[in-house]
Amino acid sequence: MEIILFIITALIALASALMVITRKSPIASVLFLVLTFVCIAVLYVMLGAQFIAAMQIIVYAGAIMVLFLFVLMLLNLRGNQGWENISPARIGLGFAAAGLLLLVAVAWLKTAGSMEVAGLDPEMGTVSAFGDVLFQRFLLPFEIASVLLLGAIIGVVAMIKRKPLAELGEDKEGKVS
Amino acid sequence: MTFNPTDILAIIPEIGILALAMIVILLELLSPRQEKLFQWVAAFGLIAVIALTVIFGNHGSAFSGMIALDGFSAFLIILITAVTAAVILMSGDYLRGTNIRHGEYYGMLMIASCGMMILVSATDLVTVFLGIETMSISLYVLAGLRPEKARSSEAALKYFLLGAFATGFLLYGMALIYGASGGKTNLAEIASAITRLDKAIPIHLYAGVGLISIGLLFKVAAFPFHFWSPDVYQGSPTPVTAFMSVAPKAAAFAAFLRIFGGALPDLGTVWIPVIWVVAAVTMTVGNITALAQKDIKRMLAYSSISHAGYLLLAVLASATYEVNKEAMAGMMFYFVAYALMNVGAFTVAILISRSREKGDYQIDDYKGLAAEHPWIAAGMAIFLISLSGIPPAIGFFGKLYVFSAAVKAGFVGLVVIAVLNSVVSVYYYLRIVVYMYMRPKEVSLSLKPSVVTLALIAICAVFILLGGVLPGKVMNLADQGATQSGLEKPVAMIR
Repeated sequence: MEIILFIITALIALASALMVITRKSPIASVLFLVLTFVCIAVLYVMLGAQFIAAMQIIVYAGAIMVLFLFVLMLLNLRGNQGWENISPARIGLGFAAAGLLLLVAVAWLKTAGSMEVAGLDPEMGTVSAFGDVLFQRFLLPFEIASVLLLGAIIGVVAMIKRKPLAELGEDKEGKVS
Repeated sequence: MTFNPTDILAIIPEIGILALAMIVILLELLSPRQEKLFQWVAAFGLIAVIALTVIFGNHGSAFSGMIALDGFSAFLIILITAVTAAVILMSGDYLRGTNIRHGEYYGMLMIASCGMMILVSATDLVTVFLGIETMSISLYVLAGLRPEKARSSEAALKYFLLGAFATGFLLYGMALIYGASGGKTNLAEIASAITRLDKAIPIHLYAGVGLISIGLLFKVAAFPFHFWSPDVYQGSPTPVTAFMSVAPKAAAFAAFLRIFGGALPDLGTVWIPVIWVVAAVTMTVGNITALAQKDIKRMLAYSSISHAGYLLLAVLASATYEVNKEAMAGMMFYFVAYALMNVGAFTVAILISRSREKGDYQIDDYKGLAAEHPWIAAGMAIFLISLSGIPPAIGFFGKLYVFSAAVKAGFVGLVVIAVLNSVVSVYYYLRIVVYMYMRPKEVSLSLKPSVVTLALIAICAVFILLGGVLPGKVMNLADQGATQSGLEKPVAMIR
């Protein structure tokens, strides 16, 4: 039962991920991206990671994607810049390279040994277990993440807000590109 | 597992530099016109951070193995802080010709250094990743701080897109290693988990090592992931280029050495041949391409690619237990030398370009510099001679220590390639010296160097010569650091 659910969700996730990069309209791409995120959230639930699944829906599929949609609608992009600019020879080469990689990967996997991965504690995904790990073992990384975000915020402000060029006086070499 | 209050002592340098960044940004908010003040607050604050690092320098591992303030990381933290201070001092003159807000610029530099400090002291894949990201995101912003120049925007966008892509590789590699080693992220635990696997290495461990090396080779700009670096170096504001060519490289190499020499030495038979080829091609491509450059920033970018090739020798040597500590110490020494000569060379480059109408960086501008400004030309000549690795300067000893560690680890063929490459590099470094001393000047440069700029050039030149005469002093410090942080037990190579 679980394996059927997994296969269906994984296939939908892969198919919609493919649609994200092949659609000409950016709006359609974003909507398929939402679908991919929802499928991944389902996979998280199946792994027992309820908290991560909830975060995936609320933060990614919810807030961030809505922001993407708003920006795209504000920019009013026309969906007509796509494959025309790429020569067929390059597309062919791309597929040839991908095919070769697939061949090598299949040959390699056939000779490979076991693919055992770390066993997980079934309680791991619950909110309380998550909080325990986050604020004890991963306390320092959690705090470093706040430094990372602070740096990003200051960086955005530094890139957008700047002194007007008029304040520079006679030295206007900055205008020469 | 639980939080131990004394652990905070292990992140004192990071806390210090972050507090300093906040102070400078808030100072700009309170009195936006006191630009000299921010510069001096930042410079003296960084000296205080160095003092704190010296005091708390051997705290050891903390935060359940996430981070270690040991000899190796303290040495590199001090080096990174000193480079940041030098870059802040050389930026003052440059920034006055632009519309960059000084306080935020200094703040971003210090947040980037905070990321590098985390990276050099990280002993866990999670902290390695967060350190790399804190460093990279600040650098993307710093590269693009002059959007009125098309090249600056190009540099930021290129760096950001490629960097984000490389981060994806790095993270996927880390996830695979986490899975293959039985849920471990700590580097030492990964090493013992791999030893316990003995010969039954799962295939996704190999894939993880491959992906992680792609991510790290991108960050140190090694072939074939070096294509971003000349464009980014050329387009970024020049003091930022000076910063990028030294500090992030040192930090990324430290992580490289800690991961490959510390966690994956058992898999050496797998990754050593790959890194061997990458090192050989990196130094050759960097040197050959540098020969043809007309722009000094691009030339120094290619030169820094070739130096990354030499430094990969230290990474290779560090996987052999007997020379692990020697390779670490050699790399630490190399970075001291590299920081001195690159900071010096970029300070002169900024000075020369500011006297030009368009503020460009042609190598032809150096013709006849010695007749007009003998002292500045002498300083530049010292930096270039040191970069090419000619004996009286510190650069020679950097190469000597790294190469001798590599020979002891058995990489004789690669060292021969490296020495031949150093000979090639003499041509393009000394070409500028020839231009300065033996060509007639075409246009008068009329430089107006500030006291700070002259002091920076003088300090770098003096330390390069001192380090070349007494390399033992620096090497002793590096040795002490490496002894504290190197591998503790011999490793058994698999297959």
